[in-house]
Amino acid sequence: MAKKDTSKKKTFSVVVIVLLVLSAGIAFLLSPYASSDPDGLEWVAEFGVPENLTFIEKGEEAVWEGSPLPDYTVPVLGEEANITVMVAGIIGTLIMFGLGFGMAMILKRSEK
Amino acid sequence: MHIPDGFLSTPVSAATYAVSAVTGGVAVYRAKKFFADRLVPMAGVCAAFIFAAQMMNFPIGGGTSGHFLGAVLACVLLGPSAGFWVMTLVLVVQSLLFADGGITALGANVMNMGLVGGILGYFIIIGIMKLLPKEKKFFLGTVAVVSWLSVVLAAAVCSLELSVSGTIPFRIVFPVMTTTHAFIGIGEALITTAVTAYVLSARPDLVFAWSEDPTLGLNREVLADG
Repeated sequence: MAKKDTSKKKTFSVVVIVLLVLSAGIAFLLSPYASSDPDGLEWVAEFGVPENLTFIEKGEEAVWEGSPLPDYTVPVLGEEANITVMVAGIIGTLIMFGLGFGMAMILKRSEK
Repeated sequence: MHIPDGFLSTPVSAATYAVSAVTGGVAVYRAKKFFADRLVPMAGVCAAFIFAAQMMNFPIGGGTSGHFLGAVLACVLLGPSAGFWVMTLVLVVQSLLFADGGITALGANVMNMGLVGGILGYFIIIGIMKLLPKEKKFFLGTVAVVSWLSVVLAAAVCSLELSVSGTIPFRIVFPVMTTTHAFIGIGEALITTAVTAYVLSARPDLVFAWSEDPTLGLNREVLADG
C-alpha cells in the first residue's frame, strides 16, 4: 500500500526498529532491575486475604516441570542472577518476534 | 496476574479453555477479513514488546509488584482479532517455556487477559470514540482510561474464577484483587498510552483502532496522510 511513497516506507521500518530495540533493551538491560516482590495475584493469594484463607500453597505444584527456561532463567548459566535473566529475556523477545510475525502471516486478510 | 496450576477447579479450567478456544476461532475468521498485510511486522513487534515489558515488574507499594499486560495495546495496534492472538501467543510461550502461568490455567489466563482485557477493552474504546470528536487527544485519553480499566476488569474476572473454583470466597478476593490491580493499572495506562501515542504520531495507519476499525467510520487514507 505504501509502495508508491518511499518516505512512508522508511518511517514504517523506523517504527518497527524503534519498538524492537526498545523491547530488546527492556528484556536484556532492564530485566535484572525488575521488582522481585510478588505480583498482584501472588500477593493476594499469600497476604491479601485473612490468614486462614491464604491459597498461595495451592499453586506450588505445576502439572509440568519441563519448561526449558523456568522463571526467566537459563539453567546452564548457573546462579548468576543477572546474566541468566538477561539471556532468558532476550531469547524470549526474539522468539516472540518470530512467532508473532509468523502467526500474523497466517492470520492476515486473504482477499485483495 | 498469571494464574498458576492448582488455583482453579477442573470445571473452571475446562470452561475457560472452551471460551478461549471459541474466541480464538472467531478471531481467526475476523482477522482474515480485517487484518491488513502491512500490520504483519507490527504483530511481531507487539508480541516482542509485550513479552519484554511483562518481565519488568514494578513495585506498587505494600510489598506488591505489578507488570504490564499489553492486551489493550495489542488490540489497539493490531485490531481485536490479531491482538487476541498475540496475547495468546505470549501467554502460551510464557507458560510452556518460562513456567509462568499454569498449563491447566492457560485457558483462564487467555480469557482474562486476551478476551476480557483485550477484546472487551477494544470495543469499549470504539464505543467511547463513537461519542467523542475524532481527535487524537480524545483517542489517547480513551486509550489511557480503558487500558487502566482492562487490568481491573481482568482482575475482577480472575476473582470470579477463583471463587467459582472454591479457592476463595468472592466477597473476600474481589475487593482486594480489584484494589491491587487499580494501582497496577496506572502503569498499564502509562505504557499503553505512551506507545500508542508514539505510533500514532509516526504512522497513524499502523494503529488499527484509529485507522482501520470497520465501524468507527474514519477514512484511513486521509488519516494516514494527515
